[in-house]
Amino acid sequence: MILASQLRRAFAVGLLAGAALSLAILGASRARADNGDDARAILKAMSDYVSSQKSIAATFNTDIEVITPDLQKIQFDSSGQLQLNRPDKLHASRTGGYTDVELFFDGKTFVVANRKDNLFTQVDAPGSLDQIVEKIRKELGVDLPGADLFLSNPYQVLSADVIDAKHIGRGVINGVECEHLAFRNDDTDWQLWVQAGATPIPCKFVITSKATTSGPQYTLLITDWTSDAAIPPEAFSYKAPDGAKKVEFDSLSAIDEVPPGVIKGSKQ
Amino acid sequence: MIISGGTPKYRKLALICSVALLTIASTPVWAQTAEEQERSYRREAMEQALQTRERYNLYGLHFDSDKATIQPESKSLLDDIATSLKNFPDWEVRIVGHTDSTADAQHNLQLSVDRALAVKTALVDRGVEPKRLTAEGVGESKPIASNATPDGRALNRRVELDRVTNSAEAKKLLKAMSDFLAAQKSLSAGFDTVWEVVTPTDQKLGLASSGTVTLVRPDKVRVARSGGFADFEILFNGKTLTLLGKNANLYTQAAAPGTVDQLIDELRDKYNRPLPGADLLMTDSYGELMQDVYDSKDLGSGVVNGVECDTLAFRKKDVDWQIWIAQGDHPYPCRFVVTSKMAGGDPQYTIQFRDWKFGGDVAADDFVFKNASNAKEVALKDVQDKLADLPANFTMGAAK
Repeated sequence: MILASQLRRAFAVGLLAGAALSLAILGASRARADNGDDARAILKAMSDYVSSQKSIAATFNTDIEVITPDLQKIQFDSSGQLQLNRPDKLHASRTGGYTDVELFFDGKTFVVANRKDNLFTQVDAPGSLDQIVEKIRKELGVDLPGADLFLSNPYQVLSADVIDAKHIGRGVINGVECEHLAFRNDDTDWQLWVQAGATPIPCKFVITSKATTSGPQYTLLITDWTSDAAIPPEAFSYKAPDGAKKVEFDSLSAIDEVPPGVIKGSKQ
Repeated sequence: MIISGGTPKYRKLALICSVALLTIASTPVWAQTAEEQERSYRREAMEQALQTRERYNLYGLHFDSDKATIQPESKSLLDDIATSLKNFPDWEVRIVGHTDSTADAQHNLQLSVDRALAVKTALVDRGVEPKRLTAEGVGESKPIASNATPDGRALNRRVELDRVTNSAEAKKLLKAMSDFLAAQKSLSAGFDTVWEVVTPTDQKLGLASSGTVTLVRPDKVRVARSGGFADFEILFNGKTLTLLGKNANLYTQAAAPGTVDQLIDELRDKYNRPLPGADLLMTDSYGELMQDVYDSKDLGSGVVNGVECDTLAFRKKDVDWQIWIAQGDHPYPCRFVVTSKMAGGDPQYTIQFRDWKFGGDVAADDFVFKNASNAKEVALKDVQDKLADLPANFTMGAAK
C-alpha cells in the first residue's frame, strides 16, 4: 500500500481511538488559569439537579480493579439497576459473574437479598435514604461508592475533602457529550462526567486509589437514566421467593464485587 | 469525602490497597538493602512465592560485574529452584532480568536478557524442561529503588521469578471469539473508548469518546468517533482511505489499495502504532492478540452492560490485557482493556462495545465518501493537529 507516513500516523491515532499507551502527559497545564471554580460549579449543578429529582430510575455498570500478587491489574464487572423515590425509598440490584444481589428499603425496613443462593437479611431501619446509606456503610461495612451521587446533597459530601478541582473539558460517553471533571483528595483521585446542557445528570464516576503506584480504580458507568420515573411502591418491598432463607448479614456471602479467592491465583 | 466517622468510607478501595500492600510487605524492597534481603533468602520463601504466584526476587543470585556469568556461590540457589520445579512439575516460570542504570539503556537491555538466559540455561542443566521456562530482560526500565545510591542500584540489579498461568480454556474461548468474528462477512457495533493519561503530578485522567464501526470483509471499513477534543470519520473502501475532521470540516484522501488486515498490519508493524481495538477487527484476531502472550487466565464470569461474559486476562512483556466475551452462540467481545506496564500509574486503554450487528442486520453502506458537509479537501499535514485525541494544552512526553 502506498500511503504518506503522516497519513498512517493520523489514521493510527484515529482508527479506534488507539494511541501509544506508553505515552504520559508531561505538561498538562491549562491554557487559562483554573482555580477549580468551573469544576465545582458543574459539580454543584449536577448535585442540585439530581437532588431535585423526586424519583430516579437508572441502569449502571460497575468495575472494580484488584492487583494480584504478581502485579497484574484485573477488573471485575457487574451490571445493575437502581430505583429511588425521595426521601426514603430505594431499590437496587447488581449482577456480576459471581453475585446476584438486591437491596430494598421502604423507609422502614432494609433488606439485602442474595438471589443466587436465595438468602436474605432484614433490618428495621426507619429513616431517610441518607440515613440508610450511612447505616449500610458503617454497620454493614459495604461501600456503595456510587451512592454519594444520590444523597440529598451530593455536592456537600463529594466536595468535602477535595484539595484540587479541574474542569478537563468534554468527553463523550455512550454517545452523550459530557463535562469531564477531575478532583483530588488525600487518599484518592476521582473523576466525574456530567451530561452537558440543561440536564446535568452524572454519566460516569471513577475513583482512583493513590495508595499504590498502579492506581487501581472503581468505575460506575450510568447507562440509562430516567428522572421522575413512575415507580410503583411495591418495588421497594422485598417479597421472599419460595424457599428463601432469612440469615444474618454476615452469612449472606457472595455479595462482593470481587469473587472470593481470586487474589491468590485464579482458576486455570 | 473519604473519611466518615473515622473509618474510610470506601472500604473496598482500602481492600484493594491492602492487597497491594500485602504484596509489597512480602517483598520489602524499600525497607531492606539487597544484602539484607539476600541473608533472608530461604528456599521455603521462594517456593511459597511460586505457590501463591507472587513475584519473587532472587537477590542471592550473583553475576560477574557487567557479565552474564553466574558466580559459583550462587549455585546452591539454582539447585534450590531446580529442586522446587522438579517437585512441582506443572509449574511454568518466567525469568526476568533487570539492571541498574549505570551503562547505556541498550547495553543494559542486552545484559538483562543474557542474565535471564543464563539462569534458564543453568536450570535446564539441572534437568528442568526448557519449555517450562521463559527468559526475558527489561534492562533498566523497571527500577524498584533509586539508581542514585549504591544500595538502590544493588536492589535494581535483580532477577525475578514469576510463575505463569497457562489456561487452555482462556485460549479456547478467545479462539472461539476470533473464529466467530472472522466468519462474519459484515459486522457493526457502537463503542465507547477511554484513553487514560497520567499528568506530571500523577493524576490519572480518562479521555472518553464514543463511536461506531462498520466492517465488510475483506476490505471495507467505516469508523466514526467523537470525543471531547476530536470528532472524525475514517472511511476505507479497499482503494482509498478518507479521513474527515468534522469539527474543522476538512478531509483528506490517499490511495491505499489492500485489505483492512493489510492496512492495520502496516500501521502497526512498520510504524509501531499500537491499535489495541483494531486487532479485534482482523480476520485472525486470535493470532494478533496472542502474539508474545506469556500468561493466560480464565477469570470466569463477568457482566458487562447486562450481558453475561467470560472474562479472560493475558499478559505480555509491556502490556497486560483483559477481554470480556459474550457467552452463548454469538461470542462477540463486550469489552477490551489494555494496561500499559511501561508508564507510572499503569494507564489503560478501554474499548467497550454495544449494539453488535452481524450479516443481514448490518445497515447497508456503500463505503463511498459523499462529502455531505461540503468539507474542504486539504493535505494531511493541515488536518493532523485537529485529529489529535488531546486538547492543544496537553503536551505529549515520552514514556517514563
